[in-house]
Amino acid sequence: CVSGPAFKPGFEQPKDPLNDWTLRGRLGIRTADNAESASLYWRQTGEAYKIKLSGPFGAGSIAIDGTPLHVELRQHGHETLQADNAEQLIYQQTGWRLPVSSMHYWVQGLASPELSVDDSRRHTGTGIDNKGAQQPLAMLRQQDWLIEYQRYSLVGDILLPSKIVITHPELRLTLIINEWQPHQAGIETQLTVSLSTP
Amino acid sequence: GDKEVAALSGLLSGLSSYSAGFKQTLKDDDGEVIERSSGQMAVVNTGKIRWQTEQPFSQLVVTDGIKLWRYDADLEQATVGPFDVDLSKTPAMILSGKVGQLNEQYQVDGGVNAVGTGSFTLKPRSTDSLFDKLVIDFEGREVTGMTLQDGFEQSTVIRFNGIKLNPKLADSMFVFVPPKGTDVLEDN
Repeated sequence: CVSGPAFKPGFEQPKDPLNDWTLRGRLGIRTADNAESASLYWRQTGEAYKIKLSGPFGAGSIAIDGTPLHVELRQHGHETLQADNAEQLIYQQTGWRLPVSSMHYWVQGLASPELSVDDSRRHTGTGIDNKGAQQPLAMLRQQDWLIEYQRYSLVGDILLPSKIVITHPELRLTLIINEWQPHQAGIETQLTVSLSTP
Repeated sequence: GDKEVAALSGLLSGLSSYSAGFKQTLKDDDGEVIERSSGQMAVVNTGKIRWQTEQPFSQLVVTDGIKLWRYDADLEQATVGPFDVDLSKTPAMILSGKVGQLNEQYQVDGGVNAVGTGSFTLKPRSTDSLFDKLVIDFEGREVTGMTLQDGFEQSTVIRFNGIKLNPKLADSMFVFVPPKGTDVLEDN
């Protein structure tokens, strides 16, 4: 399964990655000359994932089914596309640069093991005992990507991000996660309390 | 066929304006819920639409028939552009009655019974439409719901509540002024 990353000394992952979850929310994409927003559904099962992006009235939906070896992208009224890499496939189809494999970690408030951690800052004093683990991340810089965690939610007894802004020289992604469902024993509740930290 | 188109056009043209609360559920082909949202909508049959999603996120799609705004409050992002004919094929637009050539654009089947209850099925004739099938449910002249099938993956089920037929709706409802600090993109 997805093992923990080996980072340069001095950076410790806030917690272990969850590998079996569903999230529902909104994705906003802003480039120099375009702005799009879509409903986001993401189902992660081990290393396999299903991502669905839909516009108003569920129109123009995009479905991405992937495993580390094979990715398929379907969009209503278009040919089904296949590739072995999600990033390149999504860019080819939509012109959006979505670092799917790294986002798997970022959406959980974790650093991506595929990129170096060049800077990070933690939230202090959230008053939440994160089960002895590190305080949650407030900011993370991994190469060209700046990830800012603006809001967290307590899901069961796990702190998970509910508003993330990911900035890259070419675009800005805003992720709002309205519903987290970690598929693990004992945690079936989704969003319980939302806590906005500084 | 023609009979069904006439029946549907007749019902829609009786709606000069229409407002309701809505609940929308998006499901994929194995029934998994992709999105569940609710809010308020209002329509004037000169092509004005206001579709305000309130839960679980705030998104406004509004057009006065000339300009179209899309505003995501949480994302602090708005786009404004010309009213896009493609969007004219969305279900709400059909409710707005700005569907002149209903018969040209859709193959219409179904109908309502003596008390105005039943469903119409619309299949777009063009291949680049947003959906493959749209079902409009009527109950005694009120549109109570709509279901969109996009053919390969998803169905969008919309149910209306608190329906008002021909309410007075102020023009200001169909214009949008972005709050200060909103990132607005002109989409022309």
